[in-house]
Amino acid sequence: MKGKYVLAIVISFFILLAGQALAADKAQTTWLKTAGLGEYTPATQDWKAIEKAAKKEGKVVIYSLSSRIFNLQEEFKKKYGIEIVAFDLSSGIQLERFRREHKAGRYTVDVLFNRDIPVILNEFLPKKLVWNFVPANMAPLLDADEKQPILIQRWSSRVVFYNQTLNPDKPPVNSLWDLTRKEWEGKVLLPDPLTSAEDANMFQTILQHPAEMAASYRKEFGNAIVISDELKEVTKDLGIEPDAAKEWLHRVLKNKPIFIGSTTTVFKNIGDVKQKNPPVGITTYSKIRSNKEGVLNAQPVFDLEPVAAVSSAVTLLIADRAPHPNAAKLLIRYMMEDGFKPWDVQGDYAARSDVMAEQVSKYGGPSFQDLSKWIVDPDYINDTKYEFLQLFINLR
Amino acid sequence: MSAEITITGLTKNYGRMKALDDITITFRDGEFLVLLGPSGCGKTTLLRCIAGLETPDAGEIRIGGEIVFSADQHIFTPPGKRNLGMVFQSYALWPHMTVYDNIGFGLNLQSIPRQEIPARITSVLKDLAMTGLENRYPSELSGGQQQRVAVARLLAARPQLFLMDEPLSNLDARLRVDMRAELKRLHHDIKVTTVYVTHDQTEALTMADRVVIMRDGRIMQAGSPHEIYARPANLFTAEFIAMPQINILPVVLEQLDDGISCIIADYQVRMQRQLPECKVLAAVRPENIRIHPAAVPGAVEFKIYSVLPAGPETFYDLKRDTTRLMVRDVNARNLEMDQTVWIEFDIGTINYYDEENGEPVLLE
Amino acid sequence: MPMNRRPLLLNQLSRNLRSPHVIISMVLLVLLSYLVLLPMIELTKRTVTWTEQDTRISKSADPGKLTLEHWKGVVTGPTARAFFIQPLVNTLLTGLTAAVVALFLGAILAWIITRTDVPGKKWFRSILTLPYIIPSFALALAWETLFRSPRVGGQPGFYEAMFGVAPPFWLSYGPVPIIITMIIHYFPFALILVSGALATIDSQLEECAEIQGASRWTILRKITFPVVLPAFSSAFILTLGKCIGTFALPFLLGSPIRYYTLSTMLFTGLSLGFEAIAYIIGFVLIAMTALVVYLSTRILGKNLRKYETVGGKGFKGKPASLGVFRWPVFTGVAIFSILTSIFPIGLMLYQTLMLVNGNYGLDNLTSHFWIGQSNPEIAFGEPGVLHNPMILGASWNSIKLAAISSAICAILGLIIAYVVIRYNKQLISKILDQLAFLPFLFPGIALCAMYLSMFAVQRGPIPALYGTFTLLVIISVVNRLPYSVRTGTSAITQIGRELEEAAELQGAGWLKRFGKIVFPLAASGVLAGTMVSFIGIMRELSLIVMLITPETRVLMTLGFRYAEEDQVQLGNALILLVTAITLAGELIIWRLGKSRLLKSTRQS
Repeated sequence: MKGKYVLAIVISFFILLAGQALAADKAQTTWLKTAGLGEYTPATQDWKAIEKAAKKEGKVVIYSLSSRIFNLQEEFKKKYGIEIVAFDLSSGIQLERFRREHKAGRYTVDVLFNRDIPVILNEFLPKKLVWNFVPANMAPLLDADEKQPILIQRWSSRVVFYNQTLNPDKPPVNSLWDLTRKEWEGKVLLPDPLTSAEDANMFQTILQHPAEMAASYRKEFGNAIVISDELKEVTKDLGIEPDAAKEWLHRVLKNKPIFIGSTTTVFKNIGDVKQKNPPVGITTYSKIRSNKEGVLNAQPVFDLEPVAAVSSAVTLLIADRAPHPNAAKLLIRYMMEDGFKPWDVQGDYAARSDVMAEQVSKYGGPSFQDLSKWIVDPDYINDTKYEFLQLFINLR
Repeated sequence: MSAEITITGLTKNYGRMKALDDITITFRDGEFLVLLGPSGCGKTTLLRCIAGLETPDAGEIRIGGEIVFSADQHIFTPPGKRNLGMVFQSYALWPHMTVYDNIGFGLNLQSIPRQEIPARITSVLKDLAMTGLENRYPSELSGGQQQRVAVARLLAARPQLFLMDEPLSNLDARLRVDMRAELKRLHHDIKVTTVYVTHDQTEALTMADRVVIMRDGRIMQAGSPHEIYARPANLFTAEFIAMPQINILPVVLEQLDDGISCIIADYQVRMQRQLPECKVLAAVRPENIRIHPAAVPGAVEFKIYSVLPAGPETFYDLKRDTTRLMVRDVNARNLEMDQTVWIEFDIGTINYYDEENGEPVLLE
Repeated sequence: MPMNRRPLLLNQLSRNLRSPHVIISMVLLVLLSYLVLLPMIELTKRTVTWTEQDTRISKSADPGKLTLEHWKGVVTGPTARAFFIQPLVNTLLTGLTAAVVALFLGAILAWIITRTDVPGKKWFRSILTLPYIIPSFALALAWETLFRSPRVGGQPGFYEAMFGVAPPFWLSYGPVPIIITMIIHYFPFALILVSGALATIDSQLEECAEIQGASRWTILRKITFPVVLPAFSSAFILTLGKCIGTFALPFLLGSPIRYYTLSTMLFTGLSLGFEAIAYIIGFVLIAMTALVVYLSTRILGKNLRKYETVGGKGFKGKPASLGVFRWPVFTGVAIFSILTSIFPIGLMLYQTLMLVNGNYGLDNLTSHFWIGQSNPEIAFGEPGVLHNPMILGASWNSIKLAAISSAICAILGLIIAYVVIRYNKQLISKILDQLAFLPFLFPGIALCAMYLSMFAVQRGPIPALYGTFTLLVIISVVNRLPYSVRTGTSAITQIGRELEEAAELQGAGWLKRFGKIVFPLAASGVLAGTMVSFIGIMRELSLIVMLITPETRVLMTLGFRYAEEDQVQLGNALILLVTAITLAGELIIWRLGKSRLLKSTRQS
């Protein structure tokens, strides 16, 4: 008998909870109007008004993939009197958290500083969870695909690094296929695609180019590639077609690479000058800034077959129903202008053509246009992520 | 202040097991009542039901005329409101409190003027010769002292009813005898109704005004120690109250013209009775058998199998064919093993029972 | 009598409702349903629901609709081996091995330091808990430093630097280092749990056996062991659950060579946005642990009351004499302590003093990472930890969080344990017991995700707690609740029921009995539990990583960030700071409890 009462109480409790779910579509329109975004974007940007409103808002909340955002707080405050409340969150966690907050109707964040472009383009933008905002003065300095559908702040790239001090004449590898060679068995450091979507994107982008991989195989070894039975077995199980790119992944994995989550660790391990037999590995190009005379000297292999880099964009977006939309606009402009400084490093190419030109003369190395690269294809990445995950864990 | 306890139709089940089976009994005001029985007979459960520590499934309990439990009327008075005290087998002294605090704990909960409490504790401790131990912790006391603290805790609260659950079983033999005397004196002085649970029959017989013998959740017999001893109401009681044991002997009955012949261990008695229809057992206490070193007319010849002197008395284990008898003799006669003796029964003291159901059979 | 039925029901109900344990049970039931059951239901629901991102898995995915495709994909079909079976095997292999050894070591050490006259017991007790205080990821990093393979490049590891040869690769990555670090990390956990029980055994039990001519080994086997068996088995379950749920160790020492366990696969699911996979694996982890728990309660549950060891007579805890083995045992324990506890910390400390990590020369020493001012040449301009205002704020947050949560948790756990033990026949107690244990089965990161959506907005009387310190406290309490209920249970089990009945007869109400009798007597056990919780919360990371805001930042989130960025020195300095604060906290908790407890239980 007591059980019944308990049950009744528990049930009514849950009913109470269930009744809380509410929808509010109209609110979005209202917000868009006041924020001047989406279809309510005014023809011209009145920066005086924006700045005034932003100051009134007093602060701006940003989810940032980079902890370097904290370096901006002081100067931004000095310049505009606006406080940056920054959350240092990786791209994936950022989106996960924002998704849940938004669903719960809790609008706290203004700006997303993120590089998970596939998810943003395939989910967040179509579902109107984020809004694109391009400061008018930036428009002429950006390529068309750097303004629409989303604003690109910079391009970051994954490249193959080698230890230059111990290989002073030339890089020890010149093709991605070198990583499958016996001499590099157990000596290749790779980022872990299973714990970082960005690194998965890099591998997927290579898998997106089987023809190029086949061609570079022929160039490296002089004959056409033969797909191994082991790969065929796995692809058959998964119901996908084997090809040269997948064969590359298969052979790389068989070559016992070591997967290391921290990009810094990969870089330091390759670049440490006080070692005899350094590994090679793939990591973020911009880590090159850590190079230090007599301590670290790792350099990218620019002359790599089929490409030297896999590049992806970093975007700045305004969150839907941002509580401080004007401050958000101000911060985005700032991060494209003076506030770009923390990210103005070798290996991270500014989207702004003028800044990029400066970077090339400042740091050397090829310009972004000259860098041989594949750019991450958001749609392809999005569509094949599951397939990649399956392939990756099934290859032994 | 003291109270009468009336228990009516009390039943308590643990799953399928009937711990108490329709118990009805009245404990008289001021009585020292002992619940006696083998383990698992329900005596502790009954005590705990009276205390309110267990909730019976059916029946009614009144203490001092007031209903403290009634299944029909849905009354259940919590233990703290029943105005009773209890001494547990383990004493249940709170190990983190001093003797003083152990006694004072309950007093602080009652509506006793604060300033009276220290005096009460001191006086109780003095009565129990425990003065000076106030600030000791239970782990610093001997077993006897711990027992006294438990009693002191009971006394200090001045309840209308004392409950004691085998309070002496953790003491050594000597101390146990001392404490029996003290508890009895205590009861005599304050005349509070006391319900005392034990499995020790000596304890029961020495202390009780009235003994209640229980078995399988039922009362087998309630009566004064003498009644219980002299006239056990059934075979179970007869066998249970045995010091050290009772002789249970098959009775051979024969219809005669002028009554019946009753043969117990070849000892023949004639009676003016109807022949009962059942098989009959005779229960003969060792002290109700006379032993003779020489032949006596009518007496039956036995051999001494073993001699068991016990100070003022001597027990003889006798044997005749397969029949064994325990005999108690208070005369120091120094009979020896294997010696032939002759025995007679005190016919008037023998109780007869139906072998089938243990019910008494009236013969003499 | 149909007339009588209504009042009977009402009367019984009102009586039940008035009795304190029913009220308490009800309140707890509602509380736990919301905090524990709801996330559990949510998690289960998510394993059978298409989400927006699942359009990447299947074109036919219809967001919001129910589906069994996730389950099919993970546990059956061609990918099951890689997704599920291999990680499961790896999890069981590492988890079981580690749990068994950890419990074995923990129990032996617990016996030595609580029940024997080995010298320096107090010191050992503190030192041996160190590996548990160090966050597991730090332990893994220390292991990497020690047994670094030359294959990964960079500076040689400590082993190679010392011995001039590279350690075998299987010692650098894979199941062996995972198991060893798990053991090092979790044996103190077993030790704390078992020693709590050992400390309360009446040594008369052992003496009695000794008098009867039993050898020390027989006593241990026949008396001590059976008496602590409940504590022992719950320690095993908790340790095993911890081991199979561990993320950082397999992540850092297994994933590099693609040795995956269920917890790393769960993380993969969340990282790549395949929630359903993550939750299915979470579900499997839950089911596995639940099975272990079920089996152990089947075996032990009924006998719980047999093991009341604190009667109403007070007890004595006289240590057993080791005789000639006193010093050999001391030496053994000392060597073990140094290897597992002092050495890792010493190594980390040394690392924080190295200007360039991996260069063990004396000319490389610096105090910069502790007390240096910001210098753009070093560590991207991060100042030393003792100069960093962010770190000071985070320290305060960590302390506050751990202290408040562990105290709430201990008391709540004791109350739940009390209701569960004392009213163990009632359905509501059984439900409570199960509910309170559920969070144990829940992977921290999954609980964190659920809480994020549950508390982001006001629901009925519960305000939006997102971003507040309160939410961190709630999730920490819930996360630690299973442990505090277990310690509470061992404590309550050992308090004889008649101690309370004696008070009840004197008219003490429930609160009074709980406050004056149960709580003081259970305090020593509960205190040990509080300590474990304090440590656990202090170094918890995955549970709160998504709920942290700049205002509620704690040390661990900062430390992990430094570690991620390979700022080894700063990361280690923070970890050492966490360790130091935890030790200080532990000391204070001990001091608080000792003064009162010793008096009543240790005098003889």
